[in-house]
Amino acid sequence: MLAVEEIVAGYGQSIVLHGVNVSVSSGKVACLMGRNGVGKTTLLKSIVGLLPPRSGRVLLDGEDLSRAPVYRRARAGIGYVPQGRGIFPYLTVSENLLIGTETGRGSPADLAEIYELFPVLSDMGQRPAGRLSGGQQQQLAIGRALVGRPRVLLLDEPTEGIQPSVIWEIERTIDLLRQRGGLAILLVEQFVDFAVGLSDDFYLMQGGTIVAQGSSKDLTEDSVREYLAV
Amino acid sequence: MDTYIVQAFNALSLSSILLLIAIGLVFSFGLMNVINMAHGEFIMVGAYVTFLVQRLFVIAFPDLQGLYLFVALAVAFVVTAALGFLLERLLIRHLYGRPLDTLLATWGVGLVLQQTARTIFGAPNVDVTAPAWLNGGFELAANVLLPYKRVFIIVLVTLCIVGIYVYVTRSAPGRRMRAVMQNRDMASCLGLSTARVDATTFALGSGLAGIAGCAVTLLGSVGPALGTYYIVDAFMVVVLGGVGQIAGTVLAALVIGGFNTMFELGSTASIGKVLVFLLIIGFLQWKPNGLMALRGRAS
Repeated sequence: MLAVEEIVAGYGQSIVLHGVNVSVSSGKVACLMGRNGVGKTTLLKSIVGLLPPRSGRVLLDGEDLSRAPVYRRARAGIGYVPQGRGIFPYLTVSENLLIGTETGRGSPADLAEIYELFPVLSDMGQRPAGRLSGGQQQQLAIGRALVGRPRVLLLDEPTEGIQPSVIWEIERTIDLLRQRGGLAILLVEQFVDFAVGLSDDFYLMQGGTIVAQGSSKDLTEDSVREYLAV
Repeated sequence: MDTYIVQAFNALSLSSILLLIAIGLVFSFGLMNVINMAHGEFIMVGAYVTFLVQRLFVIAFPDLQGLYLFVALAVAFVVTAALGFLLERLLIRHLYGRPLDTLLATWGVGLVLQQTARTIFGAPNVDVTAPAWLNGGFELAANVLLPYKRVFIIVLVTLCIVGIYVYVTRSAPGRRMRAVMQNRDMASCLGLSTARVDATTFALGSGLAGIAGCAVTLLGSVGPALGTYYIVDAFMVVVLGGVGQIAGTVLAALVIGGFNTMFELGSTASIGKVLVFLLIIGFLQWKPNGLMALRGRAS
């Protein structure tokens, strides 16, 4: 289980997160929603360690990772699919996945499992990842995180700029991962129907703090309108 | 006609040495955006290591003198790789993201290394006696002699380049290196210790300079300022080749080595250099990314 406690973080002089608390249990999907610029991506960056928090704690199954360098957090089991996907464009698809095993938690043998999960990638193993379509790159980025056998999976806007058929496939995959259990998923999403349909719990963010949270089935039209409508 | 064949051959051996030196620079610049001004001094260190190994063989194993070169290659690689590792860990690592500071700091390190060599070995050049089996050459025609020494250098560099190619494209450490080059943050988010990749790559590049240093002892005497002679040309190779591509570096080394030799033939050495510079400046105006730039849909 991932627990984020009272995280304060920002860039240079400006503070973006003013004490954020979020937790996701193993086998559950939590979605984090909010308008552009409220600090969703910043929160994920603090969790993976790219933006070390000024105060607050990041706990993974009780282990405090707040001071750990980025790669140690990944090895501890934090899997990350960034906004914009972050694939290695000049590495082949299979090389991208092999880099995913650098967490030391998975093995190259697990690549077959990823190809099973995303059949579209299996024919493209030797292709440079930069040649893939946006949707394929997104699936590759998710596969690359999964092959490292994370305990927590952080997904930053996986549906952004992606065609509906692939969105459906990603939805199916996230659902499958939830049913399998053992993985806590934190999903940052602007696409409300997608996020609410997939998640067990929701967090609404505004101005660098969590302004509402609860079970996703209890998310009301009013709070959606108040915190998400543009 | 005969002169041209010999000159073309000389150009090829010069190109191959430049290539070996430039590959190390390409690694450190492509991966870490570090311009290592001490790289030339690693060549010098490699050359002095070769000198010492040869002396050791003269004293300790006079019967095996013909083999000193192979031992020297290995020792030069290990010593310069270790120096490069130390330089990265102790200095460059603290200056990441500050290219100008790294430039000055590594230049300073280069001066220190030069002065150290001067203190230990004295200012005058020393000579390394090439093994007897490298004397002479292939006689292609009556007046066309291809010296074995230069043949050896070309073969050596070819083996190194093949080795590097396999390392970079096929091995796990090479894959890590490319991943960090392309997206440093993401590589660390997937569990790669980028600091370790940096240090390994830097050590490897420095080791190649050591091998180059060993090779140049076959062509001339060894002095504390040996590296400065090669480093400028090596930097030109890097710039002309485009960063991050071995193929581009190979091509650029051939072009620069070739033009250097060709222009020197028709004029003097200085005029030759000037012409090469002008050519490169002109080319970079036309193609600022060098001969081969990485292309494709970047994420």
